[in-house]
Amino acid sequence: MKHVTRALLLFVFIVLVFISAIFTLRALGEEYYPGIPDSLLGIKGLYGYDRNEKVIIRNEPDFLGKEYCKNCHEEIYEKSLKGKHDFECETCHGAGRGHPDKDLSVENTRDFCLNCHKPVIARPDFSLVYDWETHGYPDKPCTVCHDPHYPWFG
Amino acid sequence: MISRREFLKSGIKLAIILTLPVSSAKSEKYVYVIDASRCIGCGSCVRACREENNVPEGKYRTWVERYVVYMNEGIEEVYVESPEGGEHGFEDLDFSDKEVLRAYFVPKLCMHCEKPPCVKVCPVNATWLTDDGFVLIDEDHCIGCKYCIQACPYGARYFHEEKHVVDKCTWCYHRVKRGMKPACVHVCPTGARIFGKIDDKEIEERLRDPTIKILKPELNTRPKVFYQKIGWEVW
Repeated sequence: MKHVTRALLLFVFIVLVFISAIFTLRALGEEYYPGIPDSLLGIKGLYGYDRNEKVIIRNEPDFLGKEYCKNCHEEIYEKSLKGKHDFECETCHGAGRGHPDKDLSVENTRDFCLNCHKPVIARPDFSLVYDWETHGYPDKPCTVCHDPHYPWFG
Repeated sequence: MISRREFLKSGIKLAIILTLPVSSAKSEKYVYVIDASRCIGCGSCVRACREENNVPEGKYRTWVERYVVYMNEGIEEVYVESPEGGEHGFEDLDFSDKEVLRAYFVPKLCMHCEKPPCVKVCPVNATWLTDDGFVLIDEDHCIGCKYCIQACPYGARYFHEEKHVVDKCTWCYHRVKRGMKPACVHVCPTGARIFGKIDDKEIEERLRDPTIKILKPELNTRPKVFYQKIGWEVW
């Protein structure tokens, strides 16, 4: 009995030392511990640190959503919800991060609107303007008559 | 004195207990559904993706293709194009002298397969499948050998020349984990692209469509991007 307990205790001791060494090295950070396969310890990833987390931290979102725009442009926000153009502001204006410093105004041209509204082959017909060449005043931008945030008359 | 039989028994029990918490990891799967009949080919998604993820010029994490199926002397023929990945929209094509059977836009991106061939071939384990179903790449461990680019049957991966690593769509993992939608879903003006957990109400409704398709099912990669209203010719 005695020799068995002795051997077991020694084994447990070695395992404990091993595990604590790994944890200490891990706590020091990735530079000191580039990694050995330790999925046995229940740690995600082959290299012994959470790589999912790394992907999240590395990138900051650029597109922030309508609610962010609403903080200052509440009038336009309310108006857009009533009309057909009730999608995100950033679809036309581009990414909102760093906006007050970054200019988000978009081209006021017919071509810009026709990017979605020109009847090209394969485009479903719910957004089309079939007479786009002669519709309205062909040499003026669409915004002369239409409000881009609420595109119907009224 | 402990007998050999008992020692072995308790050893096996201990081993089972130690491995249990590792094998019982819970998961919540995300899926991506694309309705081709709503896609107007404006290219907002491609531009948004480039801005959000700093995709280099000439490379695409997501792109839009145009399929035109027409009759040519009694034979069905398919015309596919994707000018600059559809980034600046699409121009009209002249099919006036042919009979067009059907035409639609197909947005493409990484399928985030359940059995990803790209993960299998990576020699350094730099790409992996997370518990919630994202296939991600670790930039620090990728050695740029490009095996995964060859292995991907959907052509979703590209080589980032500056960083010298392989890069691809992450379904905007950094946004999803912050409770936002992927950038391409966020900016889509018509709701052609939707994203969410597999039991979300809108996703579930769309997945009930009997005509729903996945691409290249014969490869058994089990992609998690589903398509509605596309023909057999999409490949």
